[in-house]
Amino acid sequence: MQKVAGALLAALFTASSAGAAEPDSGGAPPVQVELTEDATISYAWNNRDFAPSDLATVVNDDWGVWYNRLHGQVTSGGLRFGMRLDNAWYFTSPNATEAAVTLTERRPPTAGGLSDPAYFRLKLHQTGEELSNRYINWLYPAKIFVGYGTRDVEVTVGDDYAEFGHGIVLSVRKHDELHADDTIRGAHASGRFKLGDARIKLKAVGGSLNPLRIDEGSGRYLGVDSSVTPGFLAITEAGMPRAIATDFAPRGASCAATATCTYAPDRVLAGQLLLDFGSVELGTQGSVLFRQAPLSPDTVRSANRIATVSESATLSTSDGRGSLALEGAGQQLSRDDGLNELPLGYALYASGSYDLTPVVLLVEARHYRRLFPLFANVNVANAREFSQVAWNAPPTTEAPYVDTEFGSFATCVTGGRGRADYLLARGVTAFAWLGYYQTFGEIQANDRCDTGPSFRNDVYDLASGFDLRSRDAHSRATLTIGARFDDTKEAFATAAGTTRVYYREIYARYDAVQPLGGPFALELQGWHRRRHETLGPQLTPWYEGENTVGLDWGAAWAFAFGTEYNTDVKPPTTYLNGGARYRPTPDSSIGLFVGQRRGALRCVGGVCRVVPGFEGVRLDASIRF
Amino acid sequence: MSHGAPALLALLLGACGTNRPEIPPELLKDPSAPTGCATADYPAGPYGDSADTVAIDRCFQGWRAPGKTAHTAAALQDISLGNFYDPDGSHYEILLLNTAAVWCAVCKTEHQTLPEHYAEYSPRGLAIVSALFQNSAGKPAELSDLKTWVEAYDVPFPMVLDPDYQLQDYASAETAPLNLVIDARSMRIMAKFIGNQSRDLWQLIDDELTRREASE
Repeated sequence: MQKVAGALLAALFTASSAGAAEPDSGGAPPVQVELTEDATISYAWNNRDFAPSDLATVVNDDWGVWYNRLHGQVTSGGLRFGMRLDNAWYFTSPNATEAAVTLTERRPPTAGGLSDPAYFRLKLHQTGEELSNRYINWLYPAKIFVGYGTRDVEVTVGDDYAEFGHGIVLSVRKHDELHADDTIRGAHASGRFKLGDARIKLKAVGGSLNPLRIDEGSGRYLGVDSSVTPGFLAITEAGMPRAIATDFAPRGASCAATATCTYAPDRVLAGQLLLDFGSVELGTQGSVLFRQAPLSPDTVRSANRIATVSESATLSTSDGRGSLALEGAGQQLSRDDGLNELPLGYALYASGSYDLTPVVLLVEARHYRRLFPLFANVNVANAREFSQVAWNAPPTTEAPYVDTEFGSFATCVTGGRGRADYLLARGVTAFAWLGYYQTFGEIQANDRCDTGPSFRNDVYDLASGFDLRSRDAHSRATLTIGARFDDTKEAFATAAGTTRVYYREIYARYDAVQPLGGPFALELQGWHRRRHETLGPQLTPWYEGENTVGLDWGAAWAFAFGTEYNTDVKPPTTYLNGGARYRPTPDSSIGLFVGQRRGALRCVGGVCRVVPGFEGVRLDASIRF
Repeated sequence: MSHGAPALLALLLGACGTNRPEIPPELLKDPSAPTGCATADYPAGPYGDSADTVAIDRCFQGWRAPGKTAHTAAALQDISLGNFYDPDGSHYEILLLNTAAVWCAVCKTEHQTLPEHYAEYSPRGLAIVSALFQNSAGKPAELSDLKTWVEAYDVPFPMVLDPDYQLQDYASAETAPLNLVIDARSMRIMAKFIGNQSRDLWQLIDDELTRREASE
């Protein structure tokens, strides 16, 4: 594989040289070569989360990686070729024996437990298996494509993104904030033409789904083997990280029986037809996901085929002040064994806004029944960091940062949110929203989406705040105060008796920039929360939050100091960090982070990832040629 | 940059050293199994953690019938997977091995309905063993945690403490709960469910028990 990668690298650099030497010879279109080098060197020391007997809290300490992403793209006229080579090289990583010794030495007295030698052997085996797909060096073609485009037609073979409708049918894209970059590796075609007053856009895509294979936060990788790469998957998975055999995780008869084989690539066929009449756009889109035997059986991963089809309409007023988006979708999960068939699921989504200056109104609503996230077919037990990877992202109608939709909240929910922004004076806007949802997938697993009272939670989400901007827009501040009340319809048992209170939160968020004179500007960002999850770790509320103070020095330098805290019963409670960033050119930057960051579930618009706690030093460099 | 890269590599390589950990000699002694846990005729391997492999005979301490036992240390009993090994299916057809932790909301959600499922399926040959492995702070569960748990959820099936987290063989703590469906006649793992997958889990158990009842 390294030879192949080397050849591709050589090809990239050869193209670069040719482009530089002959930028425009013989009237041929000029060749443009772009190279972007993103490198991360990080070292994680003890992140203070040790829990006796829990090996995961030991093997997430004392590891370091050079993670490199080299993007190259060659463009000539409408033709383009691109590749992203990722490599992870772990210059130090935990050792199974050492971890087992540590766990044994720090084991508290345990009545009736294993003898120390038996415990040591148990933990050695468990740690060995855990490390069998973490901190493994890889070099692989994360993205590769060749494409040709004109004004009206575009064809790509290889990796590309796809998002149809509002993400209900298909959403395979990049989320920088979550370090996620998923693509479809296959064939993509789109075209547009006019038919009378209508502009028609067609898109079609087919291929295998290609998530990033290495989780930067944990050092875990997704591996495949030949049992899950038949037919054309052997091509799309060429050069990708493979399941390896170790002393602790021997090769089994199939992917499901091999601990390090953690991904059975999903395949997808999808298409979209858009009719654009100017103020009205109508869309029809559909996707069919084809899956292999589940590596972690559950409702979604056990479905051999998932078809999702939707109709959408977008309307805007002629003066541009109002818009309305509607989408109705159906989803069918099919299993070859005929077991556990579910009735057709469906989704209705609407979003409308109107500018009645000084008031701007936004109303969003959703009604989802058995609308499932298209989870990737990963082995959740052995690659838990990838458990949230999904190929669609239905709109939540909630604030983008909401991370408190517990359980299967969104698969069976009705509700919406209304928001009003009122312009009090130039540069001063007050806003408020109120959301209300009935969900039937939070207090209990409820794949059939029964809407009886024993499944129901009533959720109110409200917030208000101010948005301030100076005339020159150099000063700005946004302050939001919010709350969430989540109650079950029927009382449920807890260690403190029965209750209907499922979750409570009040919070404050702020984001402000203030010039200090000269080249300096002060930035302030924070989110502080008082949370109470009745079935969660503790019976009483806890506080958690973060605050970052930044100082910008011109366009080139930025410094930041951050504090985080979490007062729940799991240690640690406080986190400190600092960082600096230097931008020698607008396309290049070097950043240094030193300190502690708490682990958390981070969500952006309903797409969530579990980010592990980090304590160490990290250097990021991005250089564009 | 071309001059910087070798220097950087050298620096990083220089940071690497031989990292051969020393194992204290006492840990290399023959491990002794807890008394009272050996199941003489327990099936031979290959043991594993995936479907179609044999679940290793783990041993715990807990209460076999929490509803009928004093919730005290004195009432703790050795409970092993081998106790449910039933080659001819005279008592048990399927063993459901479940994990729970006090910090785990999904585990608490699941235990709201586990007793109902047990009441429905235990007459048909289902055994359930639930293992409480961590407390609210993520530390090993203790007797007081087990007592609080069985009383909060009226647990009618055997519930044990797993302070050593022996069941980490099958899943990480973060992904709790684990539900391991084991064929009690062979102790082979039939399926492994991560998280609260109640629909697929109970459908599998129902189908399997129905199939066996039909074949008798």
